[in-house]
Order: sequence, then C-alpha cells, then structure tokens
Amino acid sequence: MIPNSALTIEAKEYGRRLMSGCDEPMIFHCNYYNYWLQKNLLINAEFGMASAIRDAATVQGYQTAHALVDKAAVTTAEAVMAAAAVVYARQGFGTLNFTNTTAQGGLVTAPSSHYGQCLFSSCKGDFTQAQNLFDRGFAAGVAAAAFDLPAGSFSSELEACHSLGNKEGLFRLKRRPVPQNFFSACGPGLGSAKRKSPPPPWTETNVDEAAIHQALAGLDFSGNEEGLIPRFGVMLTDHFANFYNRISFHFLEVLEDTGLREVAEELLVEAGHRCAFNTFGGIMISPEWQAVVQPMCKTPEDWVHGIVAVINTFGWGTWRVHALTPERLVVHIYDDYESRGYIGMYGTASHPVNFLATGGAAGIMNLIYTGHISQAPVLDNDFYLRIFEAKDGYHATPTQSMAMGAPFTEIVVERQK
Amino acid sequence: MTLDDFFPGNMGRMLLIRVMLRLRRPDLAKMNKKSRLDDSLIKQIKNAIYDVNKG
Repeated sequence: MIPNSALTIEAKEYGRRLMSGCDEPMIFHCNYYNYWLQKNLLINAEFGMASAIRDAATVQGYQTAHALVDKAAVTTAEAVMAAAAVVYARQGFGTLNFTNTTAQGGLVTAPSSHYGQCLFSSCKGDFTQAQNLFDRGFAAGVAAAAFDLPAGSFSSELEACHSLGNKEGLFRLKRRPVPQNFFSACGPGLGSAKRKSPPPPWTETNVDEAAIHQALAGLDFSGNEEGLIPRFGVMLTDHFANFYNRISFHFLEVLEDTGLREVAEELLVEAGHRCAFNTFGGIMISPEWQAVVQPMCKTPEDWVHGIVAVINTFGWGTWRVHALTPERLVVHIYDDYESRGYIGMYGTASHPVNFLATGGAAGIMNLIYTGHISQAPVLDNDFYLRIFEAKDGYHATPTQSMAMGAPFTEIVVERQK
Repeated sequence: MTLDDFFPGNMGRMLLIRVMLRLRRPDLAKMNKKSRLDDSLIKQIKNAIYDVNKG
C-alpha cells in the first residue's frame, strides 16, 4: 500500500509534530473540541462556514495525496487514493473507499467517520445538518491530486452521513467545469522574528517530564481498524493544525465588520475549555495516567506539571509553567500552533489568536483546583457546569502572543474573586 | 423576561453569544440585562435558543 516511512509523523523542535513529505503540522484534538468548534462555526448558515470547512479539508487532502505522489513514489491514481485512505485512517478520521472514483468523479463511501459518528457524544439531540464536511473536502482534495488536477477540481455533494442517521457516509465527487480557486497551505507556518528556545521544564516538582514522554512514546495513537482513535475516554484525531487555524481564523474574518467578532472569540476559547475538560480530564482519570504520572504527583501543583508534560506531546508547541500557585498559573508557550499558523497565513497579528491555548490553560486549573480531578469525578455535563459556573473558578487571559511578534505566547490564569 | 432570565451565569453567556451570532444581533451585548424585553424579541430569542441548542 504505502511504505511504512511515508508520511510518518515526526517530532520536531519546540514540541511540534510534522507529517513528513508535506511538512504539515499535526496536533491531537478530541471529538469534543471538534464538536464544539464545528457547532460554533456552523451556527449561522449566512456566514458560509460549511463550504469554508470543506475547502480547508480539501487543501489538506490535496497536500496529503500530493506528498504520496512526490515523496512516497505512489504512482497510479487508484494507488494514490488508496494510500491516502490509509493515512486518513491512521490519523483517526475514519475510513474512505474511493473504488468508484474516476477523473470525472464518483461515489465515495465512508464506512466509518470521526466527524460522522463521534460528535454524537457531545450533542444534546439529533443533528440538523451533516457533520462530515471534513471527510467530503478531504476526499475531493485527494481525488484532485490523484488525477493530477488542480485542488478545486471536484465538488463533493452529500448523499448520506452517519450524523443524520445513515449507516455510512456517502458523497458524490463531481468534476467542476472550471476548478475552484484555492488558497495554498501554509505548511509548517512561521514563528515570530523574536522566537526563543524554550527553557527546560520546571524543576521544583516531583514530575519528570522526560519520563512521561518516554512512557507515552510506547503507546499507539494511530487509528484502529475503523480508522478511529479511542483513547482516554475520548475519540482522538491526529489532525492538521492548518485545518483548525484556517477555519477558526476565517470565521473571525467573516465576522470582522459585523460587531460579532470579539464575542465569537469567546466561543473559540470556550471550545478550548471543553477540550481541556474532556481530553485533559480524560487523561487525568485514565489508567495510563494512574500508571505513569500519578505516582509522581504529591501535590496539586504536580498535577499541573504532569498534564503540561502530556500536552507537550500533542504537537501544540512547548508549554512551560512559568509561575504557579493555587491562585494563579502563568504558562509560556513556545511555538504554539495557533500563532505559527496565523503568521504563516496572514503575517503578524494585531491581537492574540491563542484561543485554544487560553481555554486549555483555564481548563487545567479548573480541573485540578476547582473540580478536584484527583478524586476521579465523572466527566459529565453536570460536572462541567459545576466547574464552569463556580464563583471561584479560573479565568485565563492571553497577555502576549507569538502571533503578535512576541518570543512566546503567555497565558495568565487567575482565580476569580 | 430579561436577558438575565434567558442567559444566567457563564453558560448563559456562551448561549447568549450563540444567539447573537444566530440572529446577527451584536446589540444584544449592550442591552441592559435586567430590562424587560419586548414580546417580539422574546419570541426571537426563544426560537434562536431552540435552534442553537440543536446539534
């Protein structure tokens, strides 16, 4: 199918992870973050975000398939599509079958799908619109590259999606008479001109970050036979950072002159808080945590250092605890993926763009000090409400952002009075 | 009904933002949260809450 070395994910400096062959930064995110982010973006059809999500996915599919041709010497269109489906499954997106796809298009099936099936766990009721936008866009991009066509050569029309109650995803690729113009991917993005190397991890803790990384390196985080990654009580995706950046920043661009941009940023931060609650929370009650990290944790502060050590394997950049008391956490993030993506796509920012990091940092403190995650509570909606509504819960503020030219991003988390 | 009645607490704040986006009504953020809302706006808000709470 594909050589084992093709498009592997390689660890790079500053905690980044790049897909070899296309230099795409890869990051872990869970089904809860994917749900809340997509829910927010699709809240009003007038914003046109459904097509923006598909288009962002198309670019990633195109990049992936092109890398298979250019770097892994996969030659025929059929082989390229089959190999791209292998990569897709490995990253936790589900399974795709391109058997009926030709240069004119065809019906693609998705027997399993992260976006189609795994967002239900966050959803209160039935979905009113198909959630498999990523799948459809990615497949269109793969087909375009496989047939050596421009990225925007295919549209993908929905025929079925698990999220609408169907047994599998079905979408029809159709060749456009004129290819749609597409933005190009920004690859690994850019750091700021003042970018600095991260200092070593905090030493006044019982937590050994290197030992945690060594233990996690032995775990398999690739998709199972369904192309899904069930880990830590959530469904993970080993996703494209540029996809998240593109759709998040585009959403804010669309809202620029509506008077809604600033409040929409709060929703992006809250999606990060949800991510922390479910992924960090799931990790901190997992058997893996109990086996590897918890024995090192003698104090609540150790729990903070422990989860930060784990975060540093996600591809989100290097997080360093700069100051920590039960009242306040200051975290410095070197090469955070949101800043790198922003600078790579738009240049220097006029405002912080570290929404995920802000919500995530608040989530750490809320889980550990407000929610007492060390007592292994059930991570349900009631628990989320309790910590999110707590009068003495934590609020995070980005006080500097690498996207604005700073050497690193700084998030200050403080207990509300 | 007031905005505070519809959108209590931090979760209420998030729901209010979703409703603002749904209705394209940035002005809701500037309204007095304790003022009585007119019937027409109450109906709009109720419908928007129903919509944004769906999947």
